[in-house]
Amino acid sequence: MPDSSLDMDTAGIHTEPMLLNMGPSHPAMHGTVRMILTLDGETVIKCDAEIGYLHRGFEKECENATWTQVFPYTDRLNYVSPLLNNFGFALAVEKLLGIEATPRCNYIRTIMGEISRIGDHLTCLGAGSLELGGFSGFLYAVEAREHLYDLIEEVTGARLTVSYGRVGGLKTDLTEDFAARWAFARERVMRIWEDINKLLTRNRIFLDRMEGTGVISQADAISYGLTGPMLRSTGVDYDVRKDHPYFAYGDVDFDVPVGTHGDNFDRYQVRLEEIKQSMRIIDQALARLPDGPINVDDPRVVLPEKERVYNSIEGMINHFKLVFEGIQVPAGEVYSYTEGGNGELGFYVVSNGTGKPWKVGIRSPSFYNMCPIHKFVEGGMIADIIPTFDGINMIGGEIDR
Amino acid sequence: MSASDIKRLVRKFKNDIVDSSERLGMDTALVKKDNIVEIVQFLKDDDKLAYNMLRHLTCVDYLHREPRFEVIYVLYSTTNKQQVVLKAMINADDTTIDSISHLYGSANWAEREVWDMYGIKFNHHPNMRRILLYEEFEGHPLRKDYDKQTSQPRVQLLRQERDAFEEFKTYHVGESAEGSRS
Amino acid sequence: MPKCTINGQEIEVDRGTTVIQAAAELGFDIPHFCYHPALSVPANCRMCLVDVERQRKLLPACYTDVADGMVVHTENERVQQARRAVLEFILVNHPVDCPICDQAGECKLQDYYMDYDGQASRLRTAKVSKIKVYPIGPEVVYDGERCILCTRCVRFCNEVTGTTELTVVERGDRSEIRTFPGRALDNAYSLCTVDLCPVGALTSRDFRFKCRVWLLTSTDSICTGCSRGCSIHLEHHRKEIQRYRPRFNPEINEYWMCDAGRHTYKQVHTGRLPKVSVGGESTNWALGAPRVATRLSAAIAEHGAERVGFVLSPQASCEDLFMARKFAEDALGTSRFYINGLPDGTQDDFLIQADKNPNRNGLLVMFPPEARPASFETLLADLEAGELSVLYMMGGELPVDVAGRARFEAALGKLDLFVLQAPRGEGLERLAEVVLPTCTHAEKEAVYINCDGIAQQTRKAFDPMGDALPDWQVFAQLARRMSKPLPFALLKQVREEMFTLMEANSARVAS
Repeated sequence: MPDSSLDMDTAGIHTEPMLLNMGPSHPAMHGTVRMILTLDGETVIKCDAEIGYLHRGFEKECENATWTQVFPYTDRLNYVSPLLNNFGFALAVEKLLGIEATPRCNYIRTIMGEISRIGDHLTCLGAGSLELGGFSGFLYAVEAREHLYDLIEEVTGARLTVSYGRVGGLKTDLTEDFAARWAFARERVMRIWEDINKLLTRNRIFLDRMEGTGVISQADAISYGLTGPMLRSTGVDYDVRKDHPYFAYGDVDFDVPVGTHGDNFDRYQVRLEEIKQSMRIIDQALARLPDGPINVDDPRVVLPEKERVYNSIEGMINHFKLVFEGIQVPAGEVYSYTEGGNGELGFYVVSNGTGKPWKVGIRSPSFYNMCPIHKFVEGGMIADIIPTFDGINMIGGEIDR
Repeated sequence: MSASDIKRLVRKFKNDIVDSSERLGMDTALVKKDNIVEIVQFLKDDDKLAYNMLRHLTCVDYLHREPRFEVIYVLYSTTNKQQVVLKAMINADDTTIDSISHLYGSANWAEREVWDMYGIKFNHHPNMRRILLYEEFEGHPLRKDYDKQTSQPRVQLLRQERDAFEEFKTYHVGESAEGSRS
Repeated sequence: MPKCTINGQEIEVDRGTTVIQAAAELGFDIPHFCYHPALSVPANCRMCLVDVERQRKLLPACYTDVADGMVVHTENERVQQARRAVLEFILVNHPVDCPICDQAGECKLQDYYMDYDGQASRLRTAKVSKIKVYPIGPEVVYDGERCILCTRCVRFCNEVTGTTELTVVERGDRSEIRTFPGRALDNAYSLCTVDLCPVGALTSRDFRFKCRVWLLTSTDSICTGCSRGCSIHLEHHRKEIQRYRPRFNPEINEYWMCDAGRHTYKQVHTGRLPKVSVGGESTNWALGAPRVATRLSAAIAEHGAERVGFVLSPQASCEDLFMARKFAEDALGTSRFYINGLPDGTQDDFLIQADKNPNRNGLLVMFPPEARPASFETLLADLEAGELSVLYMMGGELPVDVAGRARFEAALGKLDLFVLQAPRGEGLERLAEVVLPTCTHAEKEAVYINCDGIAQQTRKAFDPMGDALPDWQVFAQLARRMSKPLPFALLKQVREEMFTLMEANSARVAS
């Protein structure tokens, strides 16, 4: 029987809510998420998000891999900023081992991590522009990202699945001409940043779609465990880099942009500004980059150089045992957290004293950012889901692991 | 500073707290699972402690040890910038614990994930079903005795779709959808 | 009873206990190469040096007896430095062989280097080169460069086997292990030297390059090569046994095992009966078991239960034999039992027994002493006299020579029905109307009783090959299908009854 409270037009027309499946395979779904929407016309009454389409069983696989073999898995978490994931895990294992990375390593981790973060934010902004119809913004952002990928590729050898971090250090040092290449990339990225800013920030269409949509209150944000640009857009000043400094973040100056309204536009602005701040961090860190080794001088943690491996039995034994049995990490557990691209990336690592982890639990920021998805979406229009989703920047690999 | 928070916790919940430690920067309290809601509520509501964010909720399976499971609650205070870790002990024969999803919104999905991966049921949870895996999946993969070589049953897609439609029909219109689909 | 303090903990030990043994009792591991609890102590590797207070020099813990009031430190700076020095000396001429060395993964040098050393090499000259891949014996290969001259192998051949084949030749850094002229390392326990060798100097030819050690899963089991039943580690990878290694058992084999026994692992994977076969055609248990039951019932009805012979195998485990006896008596209705099994072989005065069947004692104790099964000779006689029409045989091994086997195969022609239930057919499966595949000891939990009456249990290493089932389950299935079900569904139930029966029978033997 028709429910009169829902009749839109003249009385007597039978209406019914529509069940729309924004399926896992959808251009606007970053990664693979299925949202089952109950719509009343354009308004979303109920939203039921279903995740897990990209679940690959990382945490189980990590239990069968040595500590160093976990790094390729961490690459594939937040795959738009893989270096941040690598270094987060390396930090966790170093805490369990009780060793400190060398100063040079800390600075390089900061630099490379921030480059990854810029790439992550550029992707998010570009995708945001794309899905609202502004294709040019996307192309600009991706071009800027290409410069950064070139830089990352020079240093690590790969664009996306870098596996650059190691327990106790890094895979290789920065290239000789890194500073010059950074200057080159920086100049271009900065120019494109200006272009994006001019294109989007005061764009009528963009503002109409982004302002006031996807609003969440501070209290809700904290309760739902939001972190990163999502939380900062609501006005809570929490950034792991500032509040619990690690690597070289304590030695450099940077600001943390904080929004006020907690809507999509604030998130956009927070990310835009964070790109600039990241560049500040990289400039300062490069200027102060200390000399020295990048790897800790501990044969039980770090692989020896190949010359020693091939030419001396000690190097051979060292390499052999570290590769086949893994680094012997003393038993214990630790929750180590860093600031990932989307928020606080935590690793809850449990060791049972052998060369393979007992548990690698990943606190993924996208998972917790997606928890209040129904709060964002219910009551709004279906078209508002798109900018909201862009603002959340949910990376499928991170949410599902 | 959170070490003194642990001390306050120990004083208030003497019987429930089995052990407390401070290692590797983590202030940890090992608790019994019976009054976990009260403990977490105390940590959240207290003005000075103010642990308003559930940073992470996970579980560790120590096979061949009693208690077999430990549910880990990592609580954080955005005002004090302090973290405390609670570990609730769960035995292998009674894998249930009370849910804290009414205290923190993030616990809703996090507890679903622990159920999915470890098989720990959270009492009074509004939506205790699998989150990362599909409903027909058998077993709980992150348990240490889960056999990786087994094959799993296939998804009954049509049944799921049918269920969703019926659910929404009853949700809104209040009438059953029996026979609405041939 | 001297008392000493090791690392701050006091312990009282018997007179004559060495420091290394006392430390082991307290739980402190002192690294060592040349020391072995079953051999004499030469103290030549110097790895176990410990700091004893009021002694000027460090003392070898393997050789120093505990004296009353001794205070020992095993982890202080002096000892750590000594260990690093000793390892440096040992490694200075050690070849860079880890990728091709079988011992990698269970090599003491590797383990001690990571635990106690860690310094880079200071060598600036070439390493001394010695002989490599030297066939020191028919089973063992010697690599001179890897050898650290702990002389464990030499002492083993002198003291345990008494064959004194090995010695150290040359001097200084050119020393190597060799056999005396005209001899080879060919005693019956030569592969034990491979277990003893702490590095990859002595390696097994059979296991060479077969499988990397960390891929192996180790299961506790028993060697079924002879009735000694040495305890072993059954090491397998991907459902295939790669080697046997002796397990320490002070009552049976201590640390040792014979070479012939080590080779018996191959029998688990060769010559196995793949599938149930009835009347020459392959089938499975679901379809075949009812047919077999029908055929058996028909044959018994036709010829009478007294013309049914049941052959028990001393290769089978106690549970199998217990259920076999129950099946034969209750389901088939016969009590004409015979024994087959492998014929006797060589015997020595150490471990090797003449009886090459692992469970003869287990078989005999299933029966009261006055009603023991008859021998295979009696079976041949009965067959040739035409007294049997149905023969149900467990196991394809016959304790006769080639002529005897020919006699047996000829005599099978007089039978109406020949059922073979075995893991390996040994050629008899082509003569059997019904073939039922069963498990070896590696694929089931089973109890075997050795020549001295000690019962041991195997653990299941992997799932059975093909359609094989444990014998006792086969009997339970057939009995059920013949409508004479045996009251056993679980191994636990079988064992309870079995142990009761065995106790009763052994008590009668004793009295």
